[in-house]
Amino acid sequence: MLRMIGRRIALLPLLLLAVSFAVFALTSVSPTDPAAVILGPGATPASVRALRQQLGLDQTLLHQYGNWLGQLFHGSLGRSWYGGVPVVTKIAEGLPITAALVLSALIFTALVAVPCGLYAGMRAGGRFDRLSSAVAGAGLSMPEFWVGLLLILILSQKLHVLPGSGPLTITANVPSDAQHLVLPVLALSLPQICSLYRLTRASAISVARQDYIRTARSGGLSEPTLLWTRLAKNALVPSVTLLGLQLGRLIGVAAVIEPVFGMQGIGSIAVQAAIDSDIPTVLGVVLVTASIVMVANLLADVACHYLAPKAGRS
Amino acid sequence: MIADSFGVTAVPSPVAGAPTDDAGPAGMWRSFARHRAALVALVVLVLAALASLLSPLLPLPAPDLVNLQVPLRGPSWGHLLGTDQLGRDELARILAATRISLWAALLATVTGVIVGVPLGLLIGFRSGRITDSVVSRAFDCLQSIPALILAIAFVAALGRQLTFAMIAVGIAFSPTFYRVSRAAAATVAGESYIEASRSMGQRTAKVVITHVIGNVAAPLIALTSTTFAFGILAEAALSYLGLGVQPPQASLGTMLSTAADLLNSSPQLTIEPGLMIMLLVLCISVIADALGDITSGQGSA
Repeated sequence: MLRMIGRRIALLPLLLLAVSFAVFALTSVSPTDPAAVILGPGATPASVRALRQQLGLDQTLLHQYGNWLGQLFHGSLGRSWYGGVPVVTKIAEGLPITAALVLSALIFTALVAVPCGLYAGMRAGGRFDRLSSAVAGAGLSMPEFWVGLLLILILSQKLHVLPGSGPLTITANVPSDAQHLVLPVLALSLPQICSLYRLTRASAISVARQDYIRTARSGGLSEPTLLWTRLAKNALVPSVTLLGLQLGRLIGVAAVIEPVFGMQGIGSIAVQAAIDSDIPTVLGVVLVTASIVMVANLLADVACHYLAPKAGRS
Repeated sequence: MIADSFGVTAVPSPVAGAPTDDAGPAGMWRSFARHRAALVALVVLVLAALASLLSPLLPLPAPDLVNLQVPLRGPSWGHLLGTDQLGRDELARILAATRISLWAALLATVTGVIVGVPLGLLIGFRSGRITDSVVSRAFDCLQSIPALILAIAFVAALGRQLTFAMIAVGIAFSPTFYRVSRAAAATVAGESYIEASRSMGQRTAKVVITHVIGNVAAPLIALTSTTFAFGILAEAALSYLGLGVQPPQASLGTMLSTAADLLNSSPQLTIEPGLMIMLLVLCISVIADALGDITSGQGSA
């Protein structure tokens, strides 16, 4: 177990090196010139050339990458090509917002999907199972940002129950933050709830068919006891793995949800940076995201190891 | 795994379990036709695809034709779904946008297949330990970048074009294709009929083509449809963000992004393109679920 964790952690820097090099390589073969994009349509060839020199774009790919790596060893991700703010500062501002959004969505997803999935799986074919499975099928077909727009339309603009879009203060004004988080969290979690529900239901069905569950049931264990002690522990292994993987998907989709709700998280930052051809900022967000996802998957595997020691070994 | 959100991990449902004696394309079609919902979904999907592909031939105004005399009108005989803020026909725009969506989803799916499947088959079939772990780790690493973030990186590096964005989405999906085809090829490689054809002196490439492809096709078809559904959602999201299709060209995403400004006064402009996305994705996932049922009913093949 420890060896597995060690090996996975050792892989993380390798991955980050590969990803960052890939982004640099892509930039160097790109048909669009970031300097021209940054200066806009009114730029003269001379000013574009000057900016290219300033950004180091006139150097070879390896040289550029070497410079960037050198900065990385000093804890810097470079400066934004658009405005000159250090990338680390930008990400440090956005990350708490994205974290609040994504973690709330993850917890909400687990709290709704797991009990519903276990219950539906225990009584597969029953009324609750048929209803919730139909809802899950429909929920998976809706784009998250569209759900967000509909929630704003209905709950904010028509019924005035909750605020639609607005920036998060993070710890400065907790009640207002909590209100502002409700709609984006709902929009972000809906498809994740549906997919986690389906997986939990499916694994509950397959565990319920196992001999030891049948034995326990015929031995007279009551249904709730059975559900929570015998079945849940074993059925939850795939769900925990999926939850770990869902964190990555949530961060990705947050990039669409944040602009809808006017939140300045790292997703919004990355989207704006992509529009501006601001490579260092995009690269910073990609690296931070990939590290978080890898660590989350690792944690999920460790959790599975404790839920079902046999299944965790690979 | 992103693919799981659409139910790739299909489970043989006790209600609609497909019989296992059907083999080959004809048998697969027979099992498929037993799933009523999937059959309906297929018909709806084909109709929607045909309508969007043939929309230039339909008696509709051109999707980009601006008519400032009739902005933001409700449904009428001239404009079945009404018009947008520039008086453009909403139905014509949705059909044109659907064409782009389908094309974008196809591009992402084909990219995923091309990047993941050949490598997966090769590694799974003749797995040298070292190459196997190196390539598999590389795909694991790729999987830790969310699809939309990878697309954002591609667009930042290459420029704002739908093609780049959708290729990135396909690459983000390739680890799943790799893993499924590697597992299937590894299973097949252990079968005795493969050893038999090898010992009869057939070349590896020929063995792969004749036996392995036939066996991995089933799980790959289900995964392909799942990826296609995600491709439609991804196109909408990326174009909504301004990273894919650029206005004034109609795409389900750009239509939603211009409609968002008029959300309160003209909600129908937000609702209609979204319903189209939902219809397409729902049909494809119902079909994918049925395919998953059928293929898991066929055992490990």
